[in-house]
This record gives sequence, structure tokens and C-alpha cells, in this order.
Amino acid sequence: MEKPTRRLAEAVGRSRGSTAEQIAVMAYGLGALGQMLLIGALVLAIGLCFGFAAESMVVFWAVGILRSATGGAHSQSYVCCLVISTAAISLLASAAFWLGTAANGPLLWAACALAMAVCAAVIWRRAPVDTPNKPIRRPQKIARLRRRAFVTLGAYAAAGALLFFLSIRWHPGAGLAVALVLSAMWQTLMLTRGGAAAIRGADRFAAKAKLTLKGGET
Amino acid sequence: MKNKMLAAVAALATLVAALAATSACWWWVYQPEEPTSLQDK
Repeated sequence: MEKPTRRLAEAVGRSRGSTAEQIAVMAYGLGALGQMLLIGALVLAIGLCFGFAAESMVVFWAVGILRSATGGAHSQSYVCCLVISTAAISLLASAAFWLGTAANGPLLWAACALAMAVCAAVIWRRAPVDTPNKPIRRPQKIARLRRRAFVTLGAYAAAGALLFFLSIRWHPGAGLAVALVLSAMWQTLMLTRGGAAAIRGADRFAAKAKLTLKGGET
Repeated sequence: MKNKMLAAVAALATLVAALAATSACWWWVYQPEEPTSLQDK
């Protein structure tokens, strides 16, 4: 997937007389956009097929937005990322749909509040988690990202509480609220050593299954 | 028309790259190497 975006960036850059660095920036942006659209389309299609499209979209956006502030464990390849992301979003969305439908009540609300408190504590200790491909060194940026992560998590907690309240009369609200909480939990897991080990395990499995070569080549 | 479209693609790609550069992560679990001009130095 990186190759087509690189080729497109080179074609655009050549026509506009861009420098090699400008082309690299365009390829980077097109790659990010392509990955986002591809994962979004896949999880929307799966969600529509199985009846949890709204929860899928909530998880897709909620993890993406929170992750942009917290960072976290990364896969070594584009294809492995695509598989992990699509599977994780679909599983979390189906769990949210099921829990919101079958278990909505004070016990679920209390469990979600507790989960959000644990997420806040872990994010406070560990965020942001960087990667060798995108190191975060400046203390100002680290402080800004941590602040952004907390504001995002606070917004999710407020939106979740409102959705649980609305679910008394509007049943889909509970599933959407649980989707927000599960998104925060998934992203918090990605900040821990356990999450990093799980992603490394998935990478090793993908390499064995010859799903991909290092560097995003398929 | 083609020039305008290419200019729009270039502007959009650069905007997304800049947004990704100010974040901790690209999107979900894959992060390619960041171009030198966007790196946090």
C-alpha cells in the first residue's frame, strides 16, 4: 500500500516541480489518508453485514482520536496493521453491541466507570508512547499530548455517561457508550507491555503466514 | 482542471501529513518512518 501512495505522490510532485522532501511529505500524508479510509471502509462493511455499524464507527473514530494523543504499540507492517485493526474494531464493536443490548443496567454502568478510571490512571503514567519511526522527544510536546489524551478521555467519559442516561429511553445509546469505553480500554492496553507483546505476537504470526514483508510490502 | 486536481491532492496530502506530525501516532497500529522535515527535533 505504501508503494501506490508513493507513486501517486511522485506523479503529483513531478507535475508541480516539488522537491524530494515535499514528495516524501505528500507520500506520508497520502499513506495516512489511505490507511484511514481503507480501515474505515472495511469495518463499516463488516458492521453493516452483522448489524453493528454504528458501534464500529464509534470504535474506529474513538480509538483513532485517542491514539493520536497517546501513541502506543505499533505493528511492523501495513498489512498486519490492517488485519489487527479491522479484527479489533469488529470484535470490540460486536462486544459493545451485545453488552449494550443484553447487560444494560447499573452493574454495566459501574463497570464502565471503573474501567474509565483505570484507563485514566494508566494514561497518566504512560502516555505518550512513541515509536522509533516517530520519536517524541520535546518535553513540551509530551506535555501537550498527555493533556490532549486526558481531555479526550474526559470527553469520552462525559459522552458515555450521557449515552447511558439516554439509553433509559433510547436503547442503542448503551451500545454506543460501551463502544466508547471499550475503545478507551483497547487504547490503554496498547500503552502497556502486554499490548506491545500482543502486537509483536501478531507480527510474528503474520510473518510466518507470509501475510507481508517488513516495510509494508505485500 | 487536471492541474487544479493535482494541486488539491498535494494540499490535502500535505495537510494530513502535518496533522499526523503533530500527533503521537499516524492512525491505528502502523507507523511508517516520518519524513525528516516533520520530525520532532
